[in-house]
Amino acid sequence: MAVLGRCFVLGVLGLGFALPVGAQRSLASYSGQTPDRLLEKPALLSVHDVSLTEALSRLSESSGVVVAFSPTLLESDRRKVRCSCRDATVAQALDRLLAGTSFRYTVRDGQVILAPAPAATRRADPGAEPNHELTLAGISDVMGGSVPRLSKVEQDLSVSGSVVDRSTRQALGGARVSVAGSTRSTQSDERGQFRITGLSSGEVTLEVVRIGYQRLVQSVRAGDTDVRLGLIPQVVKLDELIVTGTAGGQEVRALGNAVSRINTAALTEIAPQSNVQAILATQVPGLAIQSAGGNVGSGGTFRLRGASSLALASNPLIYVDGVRVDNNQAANSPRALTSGGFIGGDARYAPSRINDLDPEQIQSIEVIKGPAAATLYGTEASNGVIQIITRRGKTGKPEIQITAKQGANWLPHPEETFQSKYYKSAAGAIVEFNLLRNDEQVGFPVSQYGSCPEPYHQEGDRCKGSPFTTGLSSAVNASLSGGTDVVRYFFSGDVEREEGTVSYNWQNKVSTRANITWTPSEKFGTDIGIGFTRSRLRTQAPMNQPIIVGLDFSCPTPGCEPGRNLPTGADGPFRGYQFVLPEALQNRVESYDDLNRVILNSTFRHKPTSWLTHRLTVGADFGDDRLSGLARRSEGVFRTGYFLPNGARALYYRNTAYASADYGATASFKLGKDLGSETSAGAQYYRKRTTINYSSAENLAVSSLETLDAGATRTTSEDYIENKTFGAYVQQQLSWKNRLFLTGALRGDDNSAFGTNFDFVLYPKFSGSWVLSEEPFMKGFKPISTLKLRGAWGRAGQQPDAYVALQTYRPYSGDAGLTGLTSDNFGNPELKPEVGQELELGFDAGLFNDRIGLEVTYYNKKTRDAIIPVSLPPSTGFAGTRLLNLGEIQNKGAEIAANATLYRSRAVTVDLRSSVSFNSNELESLGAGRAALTATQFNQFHVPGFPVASFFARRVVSSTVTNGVATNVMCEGGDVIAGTGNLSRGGGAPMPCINAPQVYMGGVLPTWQGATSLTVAVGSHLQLFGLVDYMGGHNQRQNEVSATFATFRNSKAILEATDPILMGNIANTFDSRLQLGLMRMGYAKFRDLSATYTFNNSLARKFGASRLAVTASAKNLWTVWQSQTDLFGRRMKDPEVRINGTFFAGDPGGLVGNQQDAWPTARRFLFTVRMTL
Amino acid sequence: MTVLKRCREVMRAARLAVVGAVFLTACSSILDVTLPGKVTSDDLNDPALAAALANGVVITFECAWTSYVAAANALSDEVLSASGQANTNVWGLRGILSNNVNLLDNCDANAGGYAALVPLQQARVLADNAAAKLAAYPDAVVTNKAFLLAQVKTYGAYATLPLGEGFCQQAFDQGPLLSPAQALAVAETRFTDALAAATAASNADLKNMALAGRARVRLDLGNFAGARADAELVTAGYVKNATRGATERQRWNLLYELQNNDGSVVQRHVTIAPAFRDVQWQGVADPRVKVTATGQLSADGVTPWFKHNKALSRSDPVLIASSREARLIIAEAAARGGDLTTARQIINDLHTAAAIPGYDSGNTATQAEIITQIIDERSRELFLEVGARYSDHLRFRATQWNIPFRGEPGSVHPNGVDQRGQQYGTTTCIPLTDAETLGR
Repeated sequence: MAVLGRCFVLGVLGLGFALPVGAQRSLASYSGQTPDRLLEKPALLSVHDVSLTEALSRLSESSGVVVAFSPTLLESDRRKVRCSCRDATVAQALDRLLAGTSFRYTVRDGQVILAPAPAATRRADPGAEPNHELTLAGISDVMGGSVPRLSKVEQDLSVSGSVVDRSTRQALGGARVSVAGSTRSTQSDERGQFRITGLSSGEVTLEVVRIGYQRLVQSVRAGDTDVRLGLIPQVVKLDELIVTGTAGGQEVRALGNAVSRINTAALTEIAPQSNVQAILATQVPGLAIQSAGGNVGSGGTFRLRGASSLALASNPLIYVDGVRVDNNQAANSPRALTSGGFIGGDARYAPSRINDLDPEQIQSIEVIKGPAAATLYGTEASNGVIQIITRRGKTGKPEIQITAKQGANWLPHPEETFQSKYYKSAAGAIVEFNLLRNDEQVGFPVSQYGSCPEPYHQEGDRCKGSPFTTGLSSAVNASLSGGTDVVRYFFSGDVEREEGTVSYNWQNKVSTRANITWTPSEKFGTDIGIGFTRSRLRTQAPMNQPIIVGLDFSCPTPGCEPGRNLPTGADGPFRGYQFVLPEALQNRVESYDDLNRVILNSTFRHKPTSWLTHRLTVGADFGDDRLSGLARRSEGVFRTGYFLPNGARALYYRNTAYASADYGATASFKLGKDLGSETSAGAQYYRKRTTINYSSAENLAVSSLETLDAGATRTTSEDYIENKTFGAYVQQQLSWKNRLFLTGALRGDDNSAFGTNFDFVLYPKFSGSWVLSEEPFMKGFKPISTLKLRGAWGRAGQQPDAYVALQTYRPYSGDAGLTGLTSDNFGNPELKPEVGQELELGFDAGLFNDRIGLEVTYYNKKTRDAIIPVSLPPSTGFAGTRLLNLGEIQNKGAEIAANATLYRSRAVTVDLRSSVSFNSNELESLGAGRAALTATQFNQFHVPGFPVASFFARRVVSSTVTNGVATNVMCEGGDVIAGTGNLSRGGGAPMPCINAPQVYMGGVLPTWQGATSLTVAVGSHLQLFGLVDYMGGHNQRQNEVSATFATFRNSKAILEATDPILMGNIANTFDSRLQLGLMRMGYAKFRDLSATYTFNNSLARKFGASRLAVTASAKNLWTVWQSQTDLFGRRMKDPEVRINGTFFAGDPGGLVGNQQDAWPTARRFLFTVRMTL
Repeated sequence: MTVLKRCREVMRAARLAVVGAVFLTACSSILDVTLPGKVTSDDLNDPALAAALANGVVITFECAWTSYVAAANALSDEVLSASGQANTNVWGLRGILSNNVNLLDNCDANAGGYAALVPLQQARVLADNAAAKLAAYPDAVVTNKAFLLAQVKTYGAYATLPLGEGFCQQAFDQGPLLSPAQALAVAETRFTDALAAATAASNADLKNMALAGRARVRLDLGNFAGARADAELVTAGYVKNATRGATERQRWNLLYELQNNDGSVVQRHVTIAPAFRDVQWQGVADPRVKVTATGQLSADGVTPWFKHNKALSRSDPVLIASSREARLIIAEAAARGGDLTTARQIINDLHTAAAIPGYDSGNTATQAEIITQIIDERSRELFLEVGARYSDHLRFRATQWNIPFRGEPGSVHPNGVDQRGQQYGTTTCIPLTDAETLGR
């Protein structure tokens, strides 16, 4: 109270500087801000018994007129007020609310500003309430308020405090804080701190401006040292700079296309994420990331705006600080194949290289989505571009930030996730058997291993427990940043350990980054950075997923039922597990992925004249990835049922070197009073080189030996891939009054992978944007505060794989060292890049005084010359496919992103962000004379008129089941699509399955996705965050579900054998079995829930910190909705998991719709402490 | 003026940029890439590659042959499907459609399924290319040119044989679709060419191989006299194997890897059919068909695993041709021609060699009974070898000696359902892949 009182008294001191109320109204009239228009707007307010602060906030909301005031000053007024002012003007409402107070209002710069009235005026004001005067007098008395004492503050004073985001409460650096009516100003540092000195006593009006935020005008009192300036984020940030490929970047207002920008630093503070993919997955409309599984180290598949290619990878280009880096989504090898199966990392769950980057070192991420926006990036950019901008040092004293995380990962209720199996007893009864429950309750004899292997524990003479554990997660990040106007620095180091849900799945990672910015003059500047990542991942899949395989394939019928003395029986030594005993394998089979990666970037900027900027970016990405697998030779009990009883060793090295050089220049100048011009030109050179060495050995002599030399039979191979691109562009942009922009660009590329008969490719681009809301005729249109219309048309390419244009032969080994040549690649000298062409239209709008932001985009993207892997007729003498530029693929869709402040008061702010995107994918053509192509081995076909890689299979519609055997099995009929062999849209009359066509069963690509998050800021310190994400419209074959019917026959339904569809499918083997596993994969998941508490400064200082925040977060809490939970009673483990398609040859684009051995996503809890020193 | 001046400066800079870009583009070497692990088609004009070309034909054929024999075994009644792997199981269930993915596999995919068509065609085309290149190379710079020519022609002919024998239709060099008989006729022509080359090279091994191959083709075509004539010229004791190795995957013996792997439960895709588990002749175990009851389960986890003895490791050779097969061709051709004595004699000779009782009823057997016996002898003598049983399924289909496929009446699974309750398909001959037939 004393503080508040002092504030109020100090505020009163400013009365002498203020004008009489009447004069204020007069001043407003002269300000040129049309105050009457603001004040005469409808108030639309109705409040009852609320605080004055809240009433004013609501007035601001309802009327759309910014009412700026100091909550600190108003806090002394604790009266409840009411105002039925729906039909009143803003002025009338203010008069009513402020009646009886010492506050008066004025209009400046389009805002209504509240301030205490001058004392003299107040005394003279006949409307002043006597009791209020008494209160003031009372406070003055408490303060010892004599005139001489008050005069003490009329000295040289300062104001200091912090600038924060009013929604997220994050500190905001780079905000310009100035004193209205004076030249005094400063800029907040990275911690948001500011200080302005040289002020006279009394009230001052601060004006705060920062890109991306609404301008704030707030009255404070000189001498205040803890002023908190809460900026309201602009919902449409027109002045934000976006990296677009040209030398200087572009303001959002000039862009004709949508670019998603993620403030990574802010997001990770309120909802810490384990990797970059997790950040991107929910933040970018139109970007679908399908997780490869819930184990530590798994990556996922990227796809921006649908599938644009049938043959090439779907991953967007990734740049780190302007340098192109390895963007493989699943960079690991295919599993090392040995006689007994696989050892080494499982490529289905391999890491994505983007996750090598440490989120704590990233400032922001920009996602450029399609060809219309990515034209300047050229021949590899039609899948979009992801720009990662790492953190930079800010001018100021050295600042140390320390972040510590501690948490846990676990699988909730694994015995339900891995469902019970069933067998028939000797009496014919169907008996449920849950292997995990059996392990908990019955276990196995200690004598089996001599002691209980972890994580089982001993109970009497038996080992009991679960093979799953709770993995710990911990990380420490420290950064040092600061600098002068000439040199700024940012150093960061991160050490983390993440453990999965089994003891043999963990990752240790060290990431460091050093960024130096050197700006010796206004004309020249340099950014130099180096990032290093060292990681050791013990993969969850040392050999064919021991636990998953053992559980998914467990308890086959017949074979599981007790009493048959079978090893796989529930009462046998394998306890019902199939093939493998997880606890026996977990320490006998190991697989590691060891990575060392260095990313170097250097950018040299030069601005020789006021109108010319040019820059050169040179950088490289060196990766050294070593995958090793070891299956020790096993003896005794470990040998039974073991895939590799004789042991095996595999080593796989992938060495990558990406080098890039990018030069660009931009000339900007005025062509007239309102007409501006910006001309850009540039050239890029990229080289990618990958060397792969693979060696394996089998039949290790004894169990203690672990190296390749220990193997009796050894193999080795080496591969080398090189690709180079050279491209150049020119772009011209014209602007009118800085609100209408027209841009045209042309880029040309040549690439080493193009066919010898194809020279180079040109990509044009046109775009326009119009900031409509800044047009004079829109000024009075209150509901829309910001409106930008935009449109873009452009092309970008996707290059073919290295060497595929050439006809090649490769060495082949024969008997006794005999070597020969065999056919390898058929080649195509005419091969050229496929070209994505896209039209994008949309608008960005800020509505209701920027309370609601809306970004709406429609796109129509067509891939021409789509490279199609046409299976070679075997009679050519070549295997595999030949790439031809034949196809046309269309992706149409819409992306809608909205953010809204649902509620804003001094105490609570509730922000909603929501996005949803839709995509309609259709293969339009496969070229003349080709009606269908087999896409994958899982009944997926490319058929014009359908989404790419659609499922086609015979669909059983009825059968007659007698004694468990289906007869008279009928399938859906339909006209066969000409030239496809046996594919049909379906819809025909049922017919015997043997003669039935394979009918369309659905697509594999998600058709809709999005996320909704709610951020609730309570007071100045507490933030709550929750996020739900969703995806749907796609299908996937769940092979582990199918197998329980068709292979292991251990589901309840198959043992009951009464369902006519199920039994009809069993009777009709082959492709109709797809129906037994094909499921709709739509889901909505409660992904994130977190609470962040930022301690006040005084408490933080007790810990030696200037800022201290703690966050408790939970992830993957609940699957809110699933479009299909089960099939004939069998549930899928996790609807969001999709294995990496790179496991399957010919599917770099991730179109394979088959799931087997899925690891469900783990639930995660994390406690984070952030401290700034 | 300022604007104009700046425009001029911009234009000058743009011109410089364009000139620079053109210069860099003209300097095409900046896009040159190295290709250290591949040989381009242009490189094949180098005579120094003669031996490598010929070796490539042999190596590719050896893999292709192994694949074909394994696939033929999977389709025949010698085994039951016991696979837990969907693609492989389809072969065992005779459910191969023309869009079956294995029909497009090459040898590198062998460990996962039955690749047969593509490797055979690869070997055939490689042989043609090699023969053309060898013919064009100057004699003086190619050592053993005659031998190499004979070798590539013989292996090329042998690669053509199964393409006619086991497939429902065939195409060569993207030419017209051919019936099995037409494809076999092409094979016969190639064998004749190979025989001439082998004779010119004075190479007995290749000559025997060509004779054995042509005899088999002629038998398939019903040219019994021609078949007998060729078979009779095959040297007694002649054996030609495809070498196999344990290192590179394409050199694995797939009869072991996919069908007999005692080191890996997941690779036991078949088990021996009941009719071949305890083969006897007049109460005496026939040593030509050795099968072991392992007491273990096959890859599907439910079918008992019976193991054969034709391949006990990845490096065991795979039989291509032999005088044993030639003798059986003579026997069948003789029986077909009414020379039952010769047929009986050959049968008895084979029994004697196997140390089992003679063909007692042979003296009174009719022609039909002797042919039945020859079919039985072939199933024993060539058990799981050279695709003989599968060939007999196809050759005698719809004749009085019809050998039903599994799932058909008269087979081990007469109701169309296998030992696991899974439905059989209708595959007999292997369909030609859609990639060859569609879009013509």
